[in-house]
Amino acid sequence: MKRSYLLTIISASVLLVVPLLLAALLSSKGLLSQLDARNLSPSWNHLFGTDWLGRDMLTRTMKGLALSIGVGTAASISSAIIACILGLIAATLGKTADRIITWLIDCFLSVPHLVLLILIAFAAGGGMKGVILALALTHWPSLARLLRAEILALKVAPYVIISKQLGKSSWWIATRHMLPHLLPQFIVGALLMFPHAILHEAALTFLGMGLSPHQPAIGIILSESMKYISAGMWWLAVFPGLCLFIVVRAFDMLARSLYSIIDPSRARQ
Amino acid sequence: MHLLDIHQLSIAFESYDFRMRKRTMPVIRELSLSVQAGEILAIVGASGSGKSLLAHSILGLLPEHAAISGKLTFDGQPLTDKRMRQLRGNQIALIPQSVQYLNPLMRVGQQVEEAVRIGNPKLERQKVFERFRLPQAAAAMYPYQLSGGMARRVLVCIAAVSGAKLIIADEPTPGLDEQVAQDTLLVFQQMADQGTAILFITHDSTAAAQIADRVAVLHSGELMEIAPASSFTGEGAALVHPYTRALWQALPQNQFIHVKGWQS
Repeated sequence: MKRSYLLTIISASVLLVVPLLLAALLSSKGLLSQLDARNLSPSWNHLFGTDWLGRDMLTRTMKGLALSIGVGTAASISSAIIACILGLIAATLGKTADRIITWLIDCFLSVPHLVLLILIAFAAGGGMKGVILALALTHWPSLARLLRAEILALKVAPYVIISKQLGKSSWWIATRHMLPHLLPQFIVGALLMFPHAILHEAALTFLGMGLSPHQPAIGIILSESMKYISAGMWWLAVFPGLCLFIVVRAFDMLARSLYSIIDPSRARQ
Repeated sequence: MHLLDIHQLSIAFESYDFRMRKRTMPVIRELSLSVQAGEILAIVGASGSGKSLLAHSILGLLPEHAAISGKLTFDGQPLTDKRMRQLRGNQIALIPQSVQYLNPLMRVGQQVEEAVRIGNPKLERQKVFERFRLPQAAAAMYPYQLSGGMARRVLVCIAAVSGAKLIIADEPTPGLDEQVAQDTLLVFQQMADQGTAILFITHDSTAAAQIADRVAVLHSGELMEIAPASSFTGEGAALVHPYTRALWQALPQNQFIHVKGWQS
């Protein structure tokens, strides 16, 4: 059992590293327009074909993916930190704090996610900064809620109550009894945020609220390809879309397998 | 001097009915008990007689809506919540009723070693595992991997290594096979001989009579009688209270008598 999880983790990680490596290795010459090589369908010279400006789609896709992964990482790390802080505060600082934060979580969850993303990205002035800000500020609520519930449940667990009553310090209880429960949840929750963040980044960019058109982002590639897909240039949409799907799925599988391994009650020796 | 003295302890649970009237439900009424160092006091009673509540009130584990009155004295000083924490578990140890009291994500061996106050934790853990016939390999397991009986033995181990002056054992024997249950009782006796006071809460009056010095009988939160364990022999002629006698005589190996009106 454990071996197959490990295998999944390794292969998923490889799938995630490949676009990063390719993005670094491929020269940015492919991003320049080559008017003599326009609208080429996939061939050995251009694996993913070229677009209407003669730009190599493989280069564009890989650079776009690398950008997406970067933006996703930055956004989910900041979102995870927000979730961690707010979850902790809600569960430990008393009723008023809990009520305010629960209300905030409900607020964020009740607005359609995409609308909120667009609003924040727009208010922040768009571009890279707007996208990262919007992603970071909207992905924390479910993880914060999860952490809060976990801590509240742990606080009334019999072994926590008795160790408090038998004089263990709060620090001891927090690090020995609570942290081992929370850490797997937190890591997996943060990892599962990646695919969301990446997809939302693509969505924002697709809608034109995100990165500027000259940056090779998956969302931009996909939105531009819409114009040409009716002219039979299927490769403009299929390959970048497929790559985005693979990256998102790889993150998802990575997180789920990791969870199965680090959760001791599910691990088998 | 008494190590633990319970004076006129009453516990009631407060609740509100559907018309928002406050109701109090008394669960323990004016109970007085004391345990000396080196003594085993058994507390027997049917389910719901308030045995576990008594243990929890000593440890300060009762929920907030419990109204408690009466006085608890430990080692000559009143036992408050604050003092309980200061005693830091090296004076009072609990053998809980349920495996829920083990941290599900900590290896059992480590949990036992945490409780060791004197000596090398690892050595002490190995010794106590041997004493309770637990395989040494069990130390590396998580609580969910243990069988019910093994988990119970781990709970007993934790109390045994703590070196506490008072051990409150809340139903430590059910789920253990005959041999291990006897071993556990034997260890209790050894610890009592070394000066540990043991509050042995059980519904097994035979086991209580076997190792305890005195047996307190609880029924619906009231103390029926405190009898010397030697009274629990034969047909129970030496037992004063009719309920105690009924409880004793109801056992299959005694007369299996059903007395109407005492247990609903």
